[in-house]
Amino acid sequence: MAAQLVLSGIGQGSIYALVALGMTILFRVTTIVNFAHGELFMAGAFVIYALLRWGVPYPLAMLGAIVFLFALGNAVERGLMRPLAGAPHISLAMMTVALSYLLRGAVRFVWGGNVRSLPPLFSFAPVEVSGVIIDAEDLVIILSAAALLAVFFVLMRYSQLGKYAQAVTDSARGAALVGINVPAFHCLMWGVAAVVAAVASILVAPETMLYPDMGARVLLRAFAAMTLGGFGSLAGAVVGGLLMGVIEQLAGGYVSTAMIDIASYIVIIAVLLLRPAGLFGRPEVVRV
Amino acid sequence: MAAPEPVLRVSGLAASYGKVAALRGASLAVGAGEAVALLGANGSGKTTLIKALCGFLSPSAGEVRLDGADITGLSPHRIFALGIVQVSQGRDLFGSLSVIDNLRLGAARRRRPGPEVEEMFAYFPPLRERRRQLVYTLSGGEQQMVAMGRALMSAPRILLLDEPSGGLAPRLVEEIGRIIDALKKAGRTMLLVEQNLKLAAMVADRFYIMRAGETVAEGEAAALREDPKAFAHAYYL
Amino acid sequence: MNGVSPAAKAAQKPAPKAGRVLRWKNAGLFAVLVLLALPPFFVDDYIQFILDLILVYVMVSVGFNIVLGYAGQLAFANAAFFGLGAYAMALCLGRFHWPFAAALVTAAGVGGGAGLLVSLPALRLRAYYLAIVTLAFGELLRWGYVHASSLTHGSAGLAVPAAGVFGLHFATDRARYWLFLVLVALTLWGSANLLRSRFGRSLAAVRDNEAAAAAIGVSPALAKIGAFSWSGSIVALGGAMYALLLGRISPESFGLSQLLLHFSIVMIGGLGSLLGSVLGAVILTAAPELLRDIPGLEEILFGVLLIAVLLFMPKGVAGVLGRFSLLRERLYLS
Repeated sequence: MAAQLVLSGIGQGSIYALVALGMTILFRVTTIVNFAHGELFMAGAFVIYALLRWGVPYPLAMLGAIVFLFALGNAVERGLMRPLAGAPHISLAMMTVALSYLLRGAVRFVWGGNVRSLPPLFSFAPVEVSGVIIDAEDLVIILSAAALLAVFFVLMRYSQLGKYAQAVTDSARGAALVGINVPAFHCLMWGVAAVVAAVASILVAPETMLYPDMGARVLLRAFAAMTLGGFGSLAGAVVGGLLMGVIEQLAGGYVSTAMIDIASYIVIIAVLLLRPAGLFGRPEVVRV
Repeated sequence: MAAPEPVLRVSGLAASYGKVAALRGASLAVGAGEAVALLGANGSGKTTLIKALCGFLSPSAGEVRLDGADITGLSPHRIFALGIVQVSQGRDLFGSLSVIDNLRLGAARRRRPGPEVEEMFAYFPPLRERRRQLVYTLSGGEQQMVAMGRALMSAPRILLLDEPSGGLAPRLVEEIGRIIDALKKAGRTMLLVEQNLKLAAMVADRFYIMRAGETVAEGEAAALREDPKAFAHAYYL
Repeated sequence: MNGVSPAAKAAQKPAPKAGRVLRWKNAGLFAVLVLLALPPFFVDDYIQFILDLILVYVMVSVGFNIVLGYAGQLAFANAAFFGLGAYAMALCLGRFHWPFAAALVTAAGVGGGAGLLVSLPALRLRAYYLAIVTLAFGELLRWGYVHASSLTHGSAGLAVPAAGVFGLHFATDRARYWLFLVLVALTLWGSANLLRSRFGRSLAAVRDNEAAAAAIGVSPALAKIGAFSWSGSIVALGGAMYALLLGRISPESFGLSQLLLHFSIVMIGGLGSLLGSVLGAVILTAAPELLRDIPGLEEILFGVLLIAVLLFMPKGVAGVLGRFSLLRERLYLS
């Protein structure tokens, strides 16, 4: 049973990892913790839903979600965050809360509060490998997430863009001193973070329920993943997300299904009380 | 004295932090190949002036001209592209990147042909063997070298040095002084903020004194070398 | 956020020169209180309910503002305190059949205890870490309400019987309004005084610079513990009022959306302003009622209000009113 649980945990965890990664990208470069990241994820799912309803084929709908979220991320930076440059953290946090209200309100305004669902993307039969039943959807999620993460980390490590990101993270002033247009870079990273959220929703939307409040659950899981991996660490966000998925499934399988819902809260509290730096983090990353 | 059209000309520059006027009218000129020192007590507006020159603070009055072109109020990356490059007091290095990465980032956005990384190791020999080391693990003096190297990699028209000797041990101050002197001999145009009068006297051609956000006096550095005592008197009062 | 808090400023002001000024002020406040006691005589049932709800949220946001605005702690346990107060009230009245006053005191006590508990991580964790751990605490409690079903009836919720004290029976929204008005007035009066005391100044000092506060002999630990306990008990009282008003409570009332509502009230009203909390509660409780029939509009309104406040009036609605110093003096609470 353990292997089965671990496998579906990794499937779930891949989604958490992507959402947490998006939040971490943004946090590192802009020092903003985005309380609206769950709503970006939700918005991605609803863009696909809307496009499918208009008769757009699935692949184009997914592309549409990515393009829309990139534009949305850019617009948020330009319209809401840039005017607050230099404001205290509580104001920045509040602005992302305002964004989450707006996105939820907009979706509820257009589609109401009902639960919706997308048609399934694949219809493969589950595969059985030595007693472990592998769900085709899980497999697709895991492989796609792994591919995306691989590309991302290679880019971060070896591309010029990755060096710029590290430079802005280390010292925004220093980045400006070597001629990087820091506000424009922030804008780009909002776009990238939103796209990563969109990819997470593309992967999971076909087999999940869509409703305006679906972001909250993912947001809290992402917080748990970031805390567990070490707040502000890119690798930590991914490892934390995968671990979080596995922990949930194991707790659900061996203790009680009710534990699935609170595993992340317990992890957050335990990690912050025992080892606030998490697995990979440096505690001084969080600036007040 | 300055050439007919100086590289940098600042006239009547004013700027404020919120309601606090930190700069009330700074005027100066730096000619090609000149090294000019900006002197003044703490809080007299030197660093604020440097900030405003680099676009981190937008001026409320006055103008800044680079090679005759008005660049007042441009954003930092534009000013960088035009060739004003600063080595800041806090150094603002990229601590989790290597020495080589820091130097390369200095050149990443430059618009003019400039030096190669290897040439920096000629200026700053201690960095050669630390090229792969992460910058936050370096000593203060080495970090200052990385900061200067990164700025030189940007191929600046004019180099602004804010307190290059700040917080360094006397031996290192001399070292930095030698490097600045070498830069000057190579014809580099520089504006230098310095508390250390000895260092300033050694490397500068001319100086300006700031007080309460204004440039209140200027002169030849020779005067500084001849009568440092009288000068220190004028400078601290 | 920036500068000295109104409380600290008020504390620095010399005491009113003559008792006459104070007397007039008190007389004015008393008159306001009397005016506020009148609505039940002429409003309809629906408006009455909304007025009661406003008082609940005034209570809640005054409590939250103490931690968020005065002590400067980015703690998100407010919905947890609120829920604990509501459940304590419901259990004491409905299950243990305690007298009303005992139930009210218990609710406040439970909230104060929870505040104390939450203040412990606040001694070590800063900024976002504290926000996240308190968020998790609140969600954990909500899960507890669902799963401790032998006590709480789980998701089905818990009925709250009407109750009374001194022969007064708070069975209608009108009767409850007067009860709430008294509780809110006492809380505001007590909080305003406490914030002006030495303790209030120590809070402002800790918020502005913890190390500097410690250097001048203020204990950041004691200040935080005090702020959280006090805030927790006020918010729990608000929760108790909420339980009385609704007559039935269920776990989903105490989740993330409740927390965000509290947060928005405080931010829109103005951080570090008691008057702001009152105004924020009035605006954010009354306005959604007008938009109730159209799904989503309420959230859009909240979003737009928050953005407007953040971009155009960083000190909240109270900050804008505060520019009219005469009004500020009259309103006295800001």
